[in-house]
Amino acid sequence: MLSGFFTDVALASDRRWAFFILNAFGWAFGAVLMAARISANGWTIAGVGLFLLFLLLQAQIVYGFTLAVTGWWLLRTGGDIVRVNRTLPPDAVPSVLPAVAIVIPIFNEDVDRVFRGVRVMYESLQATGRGATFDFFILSDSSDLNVWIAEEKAWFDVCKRVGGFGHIFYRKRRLTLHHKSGNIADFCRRWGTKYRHLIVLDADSIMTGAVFVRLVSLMERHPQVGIIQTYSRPVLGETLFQRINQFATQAYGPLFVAGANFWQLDNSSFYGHNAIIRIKPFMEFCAMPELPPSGRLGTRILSHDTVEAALIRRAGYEVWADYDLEGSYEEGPPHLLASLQRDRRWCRGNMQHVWFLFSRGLTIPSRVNILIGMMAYASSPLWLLFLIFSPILFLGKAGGTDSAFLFVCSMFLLFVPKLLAVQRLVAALPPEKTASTRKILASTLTETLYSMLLAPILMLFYTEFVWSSFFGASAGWGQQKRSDEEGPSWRDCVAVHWFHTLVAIAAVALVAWKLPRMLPWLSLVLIGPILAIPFTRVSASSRLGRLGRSHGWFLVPEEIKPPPELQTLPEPFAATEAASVLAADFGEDFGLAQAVMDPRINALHLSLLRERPQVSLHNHEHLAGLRHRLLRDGPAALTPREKKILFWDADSMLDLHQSLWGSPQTAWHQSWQAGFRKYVASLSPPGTQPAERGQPLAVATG
Amino acid sequence: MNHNAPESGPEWAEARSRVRVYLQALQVMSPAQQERVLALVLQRAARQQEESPGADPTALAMKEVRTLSEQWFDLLLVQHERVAVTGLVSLLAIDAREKWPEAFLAQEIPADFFHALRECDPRAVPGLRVASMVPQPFDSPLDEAIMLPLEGLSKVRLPFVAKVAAFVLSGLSLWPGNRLR
Repeated sequence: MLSGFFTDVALASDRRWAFFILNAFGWAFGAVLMAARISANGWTIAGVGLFLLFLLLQAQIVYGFTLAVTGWWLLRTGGDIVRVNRTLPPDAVPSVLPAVAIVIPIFNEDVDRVFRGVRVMYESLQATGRGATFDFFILSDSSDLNVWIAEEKAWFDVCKRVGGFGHIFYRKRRLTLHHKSGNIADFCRRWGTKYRHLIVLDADSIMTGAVFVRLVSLMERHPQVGIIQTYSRPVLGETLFQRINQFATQAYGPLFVAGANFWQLDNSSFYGHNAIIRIKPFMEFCAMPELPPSGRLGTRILSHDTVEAALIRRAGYEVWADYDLEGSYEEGPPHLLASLQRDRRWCRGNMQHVWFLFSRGLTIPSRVNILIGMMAYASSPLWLLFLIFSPILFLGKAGGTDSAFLFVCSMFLLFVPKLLAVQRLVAALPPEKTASTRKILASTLTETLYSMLLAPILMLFYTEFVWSSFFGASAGWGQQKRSDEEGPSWRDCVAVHWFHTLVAIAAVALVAWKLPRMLPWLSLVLIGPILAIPFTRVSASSRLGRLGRSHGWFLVPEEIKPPPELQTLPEPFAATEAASVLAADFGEDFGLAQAVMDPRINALHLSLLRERPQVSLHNHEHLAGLRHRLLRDGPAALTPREKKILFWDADSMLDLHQSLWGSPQTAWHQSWQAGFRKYVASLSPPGTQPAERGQPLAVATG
Repeated sequence: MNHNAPESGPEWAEARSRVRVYLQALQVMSPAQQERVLALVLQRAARQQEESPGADPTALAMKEVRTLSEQWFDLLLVQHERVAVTGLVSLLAIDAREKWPEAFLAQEIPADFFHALRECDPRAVPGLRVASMVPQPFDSPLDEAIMLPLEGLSKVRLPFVAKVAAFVLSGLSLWPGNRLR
């Protein structure tokens, strides 16, 4: 339904048909070549299987190629005429803006980074002069008590610093149902009707105040629009991994998003963050159902955004991508292992979408978006099968010329988008900037080699993730350890990659023995997994990232001319002195120790907890017992669950605080005694004697 | 007991130092103010000990700090539930330590301090306006009749040897020699 600003149904239909035909042409061309190659040796069961695999994979490659070429053509000719951002003059803002909530769901995130972002965005919004109707909500599902305490303190500090009380809110959920989508739904049920629009951010998102105002203005201009998704540019990369990824995304991304807008139009993708949502229809039509109650895919939807976009579109509201709006940013994972952890979650979420693929009433573009999201991961096992069976099929068979031509065609489809992106970047430079041209070419070439190594590594992991999504096999590894600024240790890298490396070495040996003619081709795929361990370790290096930056490699526009928001973001913010003082004696329990010992932290924590309803005598006694054990035997004597119970109980936290301060030290566990001494020392101004260090002080007499 | 001269001795010394530390933790940094509050607290604690002989002076003194705070905030703030907690958070929010370093527990309240404290509203969340958000029906033909048996199959646990055998047999069935015609 095109009932909003874009009412030319015929044009939309023409665009989608044209895009489909372009895809079909490329797809059919590849299919004919592949069929000819297989026919040369006669059709077998394996041949048919390989051909079907090829059709699926070719469709994905051709789709990407068509997107990029279409996008390049649109950008080269002055931009698409059908863009949501084009429907409003740049400085057009309604005289009165509606109430808008900016929500940031968080789960055990880097607290300092989250609240630095809140500070920067709040100040940027106030600088526009239109910030009065915007409220920020930090919606915490954090399970770590230390993180929880740090969040409360950081919320308070940021409010105090920017004068944000009453506009910056912090909500901690007791029951963390349904992950992020449940967190947002919980917000909607409590406060959703107070606001007309909802801007959803990730913990590492940054948006400028101007973008917030612009998005709201667009939503006000087009009441039929349900969601506007911005194109969030990855920035602030420090490691080599981040810098190469942000360069690639910023260089090639615009082509793909412009191409996607060409055919998706009012049925665009939604990525779940850096986007604005109209709350009323969102609440009415987008509450996530539970998946059927058995099966390994789980009942909780892990990746909600694509489904929400499909549901709101089904209800008649449009979903647009505002891809040319500057000022929407995010940060990427620092290294490959962190990226893979995120991918594992996303993969399972995208596989769950199979339930929705055939839901009644969805538009065809919505189904295509769901399918593309699934294929982002599901194509990996297909590629793996293809790579295993194609050498077997062509073992000792003629037809080398056809194979080579097919290979060249595939490379053409994969690399032309990169060439077009480079052409665009170089064309945008002034003629005298030849050095910049060289750096762009060098960065692109390096990124291409990097991608060639990375792609097969990802293929193997994604295959495991897809398998584990459906069949429950473990695809994981333990908690990552980070060695200061250099990312994962060698030990972590070996633990994650050793199996793939061994398999790849064995495959090289097998191919060299049985199919030596195929070795040059297959080595392009096998070299990545063989080098995976050093690849992950080296690409996680911040030193190399900085070195690249100092030489002008992998630069993105925000590094050449940084916006004020990104310039001020790195300024340190949250004070953590008390936490660091207590960390030595309380280990993982320093947050709890802080909340019990420090009267300011205790008061803040209490003020954020609800009053306890009447508790039974049994619970009362249970809580009293836990409190007694905590002080007498130390925090280590309680289980995490018991500590959490105390943490949630305001009366207990108050009682603990009063008991600690109002009883002799001899009644405390030694960890409390040692921690208290250090805490007292940290309070005394430098050069003075701490008040409580054992020796009695003189008592003044009146 | 002479209320102008609180008890000396190690127990009272500990009580005194504990209260002093607590005041420092509350960011009462002015020595004059610390002494004033200390004297008041110990005086009241000593009076309490007269009524409960044998009670620990530290416990009595810390209890008096709380009582004093509650009574003082009660005079200033409208709220009655957990008034000391709200008052303390409000003090931090208005930066009382920097702007009114001698105001905490003072008899004479500066007018601007009073107004700042009253106007301060450091609430973490706004008032609720509860609404429903009902999940959409699943409404897919790919429902339990199709998916659940498939997923049920996925739960079948085969021994490792059986898995390897199945893999090898699958591979052999696809071997290029098996022509379609």
